[in-house]
Amino acid sequence: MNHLIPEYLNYWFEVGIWKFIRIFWYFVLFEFTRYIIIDYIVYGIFYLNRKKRQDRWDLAKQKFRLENPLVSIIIPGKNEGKHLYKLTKSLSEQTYTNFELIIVDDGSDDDTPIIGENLKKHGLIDLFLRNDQRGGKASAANFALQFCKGKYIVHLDADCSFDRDAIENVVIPFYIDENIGAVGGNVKVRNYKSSLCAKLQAIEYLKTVSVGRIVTSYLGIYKIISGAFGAFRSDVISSIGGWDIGPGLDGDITVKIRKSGYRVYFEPTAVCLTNAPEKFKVLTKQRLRWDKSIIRFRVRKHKDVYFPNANFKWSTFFSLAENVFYNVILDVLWWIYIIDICINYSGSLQFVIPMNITLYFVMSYVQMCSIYMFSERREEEKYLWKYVAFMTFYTGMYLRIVRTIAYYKEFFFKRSFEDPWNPYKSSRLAKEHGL
Amino acid sequence: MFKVVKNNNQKILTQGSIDYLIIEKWSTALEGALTSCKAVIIATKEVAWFNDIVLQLRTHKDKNVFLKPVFYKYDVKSEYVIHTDGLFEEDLSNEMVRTIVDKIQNVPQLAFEQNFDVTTRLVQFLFTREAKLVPVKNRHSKIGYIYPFIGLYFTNKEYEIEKQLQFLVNDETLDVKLKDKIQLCNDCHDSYLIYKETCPKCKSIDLEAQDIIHHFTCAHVAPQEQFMNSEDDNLQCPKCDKHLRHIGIDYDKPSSVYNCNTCDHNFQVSQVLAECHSCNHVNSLEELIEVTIYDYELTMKAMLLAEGKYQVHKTEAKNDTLVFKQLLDQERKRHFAKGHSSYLFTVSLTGELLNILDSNYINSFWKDMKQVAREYVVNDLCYVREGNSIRLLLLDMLQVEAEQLQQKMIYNMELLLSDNIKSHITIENKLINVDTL
Repeated sequence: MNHLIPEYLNYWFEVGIWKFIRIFWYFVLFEFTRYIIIDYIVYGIFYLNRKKRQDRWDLAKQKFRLENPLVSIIIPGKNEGKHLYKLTKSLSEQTYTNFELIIVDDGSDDDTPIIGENLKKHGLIDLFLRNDQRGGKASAANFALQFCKGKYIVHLDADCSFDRDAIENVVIPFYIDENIGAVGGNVKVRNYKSSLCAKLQAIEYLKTVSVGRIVTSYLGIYKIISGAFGAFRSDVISSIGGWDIGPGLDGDITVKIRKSGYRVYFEPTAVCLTNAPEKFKVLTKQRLRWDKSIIRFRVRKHKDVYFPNANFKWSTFFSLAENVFYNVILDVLWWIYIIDICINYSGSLQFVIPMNITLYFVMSYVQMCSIYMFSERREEEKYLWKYVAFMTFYTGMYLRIVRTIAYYKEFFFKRSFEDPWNPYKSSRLAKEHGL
Repeated sequence: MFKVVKNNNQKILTQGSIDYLIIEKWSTALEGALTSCKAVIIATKEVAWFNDIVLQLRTHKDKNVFLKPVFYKYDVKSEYVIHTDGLFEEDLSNEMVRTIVDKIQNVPQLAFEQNFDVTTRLVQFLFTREAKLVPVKNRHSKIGYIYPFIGLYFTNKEYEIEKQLQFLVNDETLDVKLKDKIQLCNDCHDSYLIYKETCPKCKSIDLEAQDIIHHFTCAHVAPQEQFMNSEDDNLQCPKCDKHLRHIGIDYDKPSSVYNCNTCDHNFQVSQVLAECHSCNHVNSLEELIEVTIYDYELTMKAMLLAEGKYQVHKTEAKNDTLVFKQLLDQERKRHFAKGHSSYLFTVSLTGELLNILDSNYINSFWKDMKQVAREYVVNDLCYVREGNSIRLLLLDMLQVEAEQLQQKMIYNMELLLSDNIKSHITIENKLINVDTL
């Protein structure tokens, strides 16, 4: 055992650049380029353009304040009554106050109707709608659309809370470019101290949501506006007929908006905090659902974006292609990579595996540096640094395995249509019509 | 056989041994004859005269008058007939008069005589009749019900009757049986209310309701109007153009919405308002006063009390005191775990005001106090009231716990005494370990 460490260190120096690339091709070609090089280049550009961006923001803010548009905030959900009071308190603290608050109860079987009616009676919400029969989140959100009077619609999840300027900041980008049809808010984990599972998700959200979406938004390939916090232009959302059946309806609507010719934008300063699952069992269920939606929507429903047609747009093509490539294709490639290593380097596995872990470990911290540079909550997020070491196993192993299972189930068995997250009556028809 | 004797313009009908005074119109000159006759027959066809006679008789200050059997000869369609003993029928009425008169005479000393208020009169009236008080529906009454006898004392203030009767219920004089629940206007206490569905925003009644349709395939949800195809009567989804053919298969109607034609507000739950037909006050449902209507019956205790067969003490029951003493003796002999013991807790009220205060108030106070005490004692046997004091047996506890209970009880007693009388009444209390007795 004692001789392994010096040999391992020696291997680093002896392996040579070409052999290194051959052995760690997966890391070098895909992970390092995408998550280190591109992130830092975008940060560099951001840093250089900061003055210009700030001027553009100030001008948009001025226009927004001058117009003072009515914003309709909609919150569809089932059995969310317990979160509603906190949510209204969080919204009552907003710097922007010209909004109407519409809550849709999608056939709750708990005290939600009583709580909702009570909040309405006390003037904490403007409209409380209830469907006695559950129709699914999309139908509840579409129901709310019927009553929205605002120029912009903000879609929220009931268990979220918001920075004081979140509503204002998520709407301002519409005044930066009139071709922006939807703006995604920055979702962070509120309960990041509660368990290791939540801590790892907090880091993951920072990587994939905060920084990841800044980068994709900058590159024009931003592809998902979180259901937890997103803003839409009323006319745009009406023209595309609102939300379609989920699960994964947030990603779906983003693609629909892109396909209609509008820009989709990510606003990192519009911060919303949400509770992440605290147990791996719950997280696994959630991720299986999310990952299946990539196959269902990106690969099947919206496959037309990959082919030349009248509405073809390169940005939409790249947006979905990047998503499918980095998630689906690379997932398959990762297993090929494992087989490749096992077959071709079976004698050196005692070095290759630790080296891989070391690479990902270092990369996690380098990525964390970029998060630190982009972040507006640097001090609070310092707490997470010591847990970054676990990310190698979390994203490199756990999430990959969950993803593989989800893709397999969806690709061969279309399991997302059986997910109880959406009622069977509508999932059955959506499956029939290939939606 | 009967004969009518006309004397000083007063007609007296004698049937068997019973003299009936026949009255056509009320006059103070009748007072003398009223005391000498056993019963009264009202013989007028004028509703106003009829009502006046009933009112004068039943609200008369003399108990021998207001309790007197009263019959009527002509059915004048007056709502006041419920305060009488019915239509005069020779044999039947005689029997009834004998029963009533016997009851009045057999009561040696009516228990409530010293405090001769309306409720006391009612108890006496009920005792001499069938012991039942059954409110009758009446659309001219403000609360929609009229009460035999007691109703005459509260004309246009029927709302007050239930409160008065509640005192007798609290005092265990009356038993109740639920009959109805009614809502009254908050402003004038009238029950004639018109309920309206209104817009919660502008209170308009110009509302239109529409079903909401949920199309399963594309999740589109909108009012039915948007799904109606103008060319035919079919339903067509405005989002995906598909035809909706079968409810439950293609679509469902999960809810409905109202649209206000006045302010264009949309909502699902209309606000129901109750407009009072008498004073035009518009009440929200929360504002309405809910009154429970009961059928009442004299309790056995009240019957015995009225007959003088039940010894009236200021204590609740003498037997309770004996049981309490036995329990106390038992506790003194008992061996406790270290630090534990039972405690005798005595609380008394003193002050001259107690002699002046209405007995109903005092009884009600002790009743509430008993409720409070029940939370601290094991069962009712550990509680006894003697005049204006109560004794509680606190079983098997630490001294600290007993002292905490003592403080809580005193605190609650002070809360129960209203502010304006608190300063005139002193609360004294004592906590004794039973071992030291």
